[in-house]
Amino acid sequence: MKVAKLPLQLNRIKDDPFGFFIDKIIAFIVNLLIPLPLAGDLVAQFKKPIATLLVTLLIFFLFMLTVIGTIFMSPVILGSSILTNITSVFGSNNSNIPSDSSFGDTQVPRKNPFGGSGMSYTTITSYFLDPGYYLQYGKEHPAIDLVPSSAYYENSLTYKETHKVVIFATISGSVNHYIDTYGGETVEITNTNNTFRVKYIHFSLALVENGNMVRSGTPVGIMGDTGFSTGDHVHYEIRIKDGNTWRAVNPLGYIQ
Amino acid sequence: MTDIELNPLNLKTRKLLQLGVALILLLFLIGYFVLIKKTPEPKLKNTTVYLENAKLYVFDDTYSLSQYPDKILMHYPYLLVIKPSQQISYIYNLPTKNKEKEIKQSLLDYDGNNTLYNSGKSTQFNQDSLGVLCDLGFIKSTSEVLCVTKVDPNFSENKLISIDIKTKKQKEVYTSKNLITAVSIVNNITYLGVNDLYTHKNYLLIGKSQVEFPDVASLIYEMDSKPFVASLKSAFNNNTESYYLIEGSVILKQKVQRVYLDW
Repeated sequence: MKVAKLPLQLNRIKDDPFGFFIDKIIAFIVNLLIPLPLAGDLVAQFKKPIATLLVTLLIFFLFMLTVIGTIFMSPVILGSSILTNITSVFGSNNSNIPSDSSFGDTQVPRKNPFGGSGMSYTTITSYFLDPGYYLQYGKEHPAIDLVPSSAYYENSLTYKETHKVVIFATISGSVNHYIDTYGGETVEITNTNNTFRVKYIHFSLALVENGNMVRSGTPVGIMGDTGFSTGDHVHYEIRIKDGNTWRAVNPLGYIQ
Repeated sequence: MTDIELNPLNLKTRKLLQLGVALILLLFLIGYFVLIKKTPEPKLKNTTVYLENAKLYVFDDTYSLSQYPDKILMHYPYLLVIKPSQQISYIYNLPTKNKEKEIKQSLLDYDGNNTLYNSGKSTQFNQDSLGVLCDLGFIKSTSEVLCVTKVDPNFSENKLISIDIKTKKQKEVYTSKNLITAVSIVNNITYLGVNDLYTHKNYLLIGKSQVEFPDVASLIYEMDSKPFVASLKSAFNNNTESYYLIEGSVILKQKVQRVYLDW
């Protein structure tokens, strides 16, 4: 048999030397993996349909991996700031988020930064000059820490439209946007009269830029936990001009 | 091929067999339910309450207290674990060693029937606004609440006031230029923890007398019918944890690594 095959093989080497050696290598590898007689020769003979089948299976496997991966990872991706950070790369951030006209145009901060009436949309997690904060960290907490209340999630039109906790400017004025020493996304707005300054920290994303002039009710950021923070919240601070300094005052005295 | 063996049972023996099977099933069911009833309830592995390295061990539950603003309070026999960011308070009954309930509020105090908590700009006693915002509070009785509030809402200095629940009338009990860090009543004596805002020295006010306290008074509580003070991790004690027994005006540091709140 082998002697009869020899001229055929010699002809093959002469006509298609590359194909011949490829077939031999395939046959050798298959014979190593599959201990069946003629397995190597068969695979080499039908290498094109087998390769097509293998590539199809590989593409199908990769497709299924992507689909299953997307299904399982989607809550993690949506729950994190990954998407926000990716989308923030592409141009304007606040173009889709409408302003809240109920804030009016004010120089004095009268509403809470989530919107809504009074304190209905807010829950305070840490009060102004909280003794617990002072004892733990050895410094004063010159602000209130806020998270949205259940009423906010049920009623806020902005939240229903954007599925984001959007923070609004509580006064009209000029913006100072910076990252604080702990890495917190910080936005400060100083009113045009230069008498009030409001400060927000821990945004996952700031929606305004340094030097912008904003009207009260303009979206300024998305609630997050950047910087010196132990969870998603907004640090909301009000300062009033007192001589040459800006003195922190209790924001609860201003929210009506 | 073998012949199929015919059923050898007649009507009488078949009925007897059916009765036997039913009896066995009945005995099994009775035995099963009796055994289930007699299965003892799982015993607690940990029957104490202690703090160690900013972790609170309450019987078999564990809480991390390293993350501000989480805190613990005690109004014997109740231990309160408060998570303001989740707006939830867990209440444990210490003598029965049970988690008694969860309340969707950031509590200042709980006495078994009444809740004291902050809501927006003011402190509530159950559903009733007290008309003042308390940093700390203690339900003295169903008619009186002790409230630690600010002398001026824009400055840190605290004062202790007593509020009549019905009339909402306030009475100043103690005014300081300092920070009041804890308040409690143990054996009918009012205890206050005070931190001097300028020297950072600590004091205890026991009734009307003042004694120096070597650490931060984070929590004043009752254990074995005696007053104890726990000092939790703070910038003013190099982030250490200790606890002290108060005997009259004598302060005795307990030489154990854990801060026991109930044993």
